[in-house]
Amino acid sequence: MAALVEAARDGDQLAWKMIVARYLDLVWAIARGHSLDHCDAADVSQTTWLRLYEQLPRLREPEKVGAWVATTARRESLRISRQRRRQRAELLPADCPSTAPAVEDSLPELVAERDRLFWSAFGDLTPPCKRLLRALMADPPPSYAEVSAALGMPVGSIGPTRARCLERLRAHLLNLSAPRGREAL
Amino acid sequence: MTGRGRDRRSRKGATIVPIEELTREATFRRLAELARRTDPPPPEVAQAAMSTPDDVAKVTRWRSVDDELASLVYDSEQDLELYENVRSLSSSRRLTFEASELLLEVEVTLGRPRELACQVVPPQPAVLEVRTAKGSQACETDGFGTFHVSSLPPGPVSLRCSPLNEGGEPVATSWFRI
Repeated sequence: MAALVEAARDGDQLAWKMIVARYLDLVWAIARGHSLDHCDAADVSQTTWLRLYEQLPRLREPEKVGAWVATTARRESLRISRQRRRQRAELLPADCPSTAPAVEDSLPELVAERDRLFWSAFGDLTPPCKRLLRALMADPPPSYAEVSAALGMPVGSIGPTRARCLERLRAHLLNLSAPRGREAL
Repeated sequence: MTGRGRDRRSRKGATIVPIEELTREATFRRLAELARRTDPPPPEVAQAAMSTPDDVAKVTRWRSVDDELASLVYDSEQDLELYENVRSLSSSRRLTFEASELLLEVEVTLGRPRELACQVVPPQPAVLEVRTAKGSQACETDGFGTFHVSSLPPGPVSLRCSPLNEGGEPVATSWFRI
């Protein structure tokens, strides 16, 4: 990564694209984990990438570019969440028309049904669990140092928190599926 | 997976494991797969990120290394964070950027579209360029170093201030969201 950062600093377009490709989904996941809609998550992404580009020549630890990107995405996500709360409180018009979450209609019925069940159980988690699990779901999977930066959480507590959050998710899944009968799922 | 014949197959052939048989790790894998499939970054987000160095430099005719970076030293939104319970009555946000020779005081009005008022301190004539990811607009400040621009779309912005006084070096603010 440090070599890519060095190359991107010198104007190597391919190196820049490789850095972006590595962290594009992580930045998106961090924003989405903060319950931001598509439009706001796109804004967080854009700001984060512009910041990184601007800061490339000044990054003191180029090998930690992933953590830097994750920290920036977290701060931007928090900032935009606060701004949205304020706009709602002051009845200002929203910046982005809210878009319904995309559930593919083309998916086979059973798979789509279970997708809805999983997203619904995920949606019932506490905000800290959502932020952590969504960041961990990024593709490619982030390092714990990057997750730590994405959450503002010590590396040591990621594992235990992850386990607790997944247990809660399983409990929600069982709850949600029970009343409808397992056969339907 | 075949346990007691309760697994079902979708038309696509994917095996559906009963919820209670999913281990913690299997649950996570299923969720991660779901995120990859149904919530990836949209193509335009990827495209904008990939094209950042080339196009932003082209659009703004600017390379970050050439200008002094004015860093954010005050942001009224950070204040709100510190005093979460204090409700702000104004619908504007104030930011201060500091460079070695000058300050840029910025006020963003949070309506839609955004309005931006800027004051160069110490007051002096300058050309101020408002850069967004889509392009830039430039305007000369009045004699008091103030500058006003309306109808900006919400999104990332950076200001570049080129003092017209002799010896004044251009300064660019870091990107911030409006």
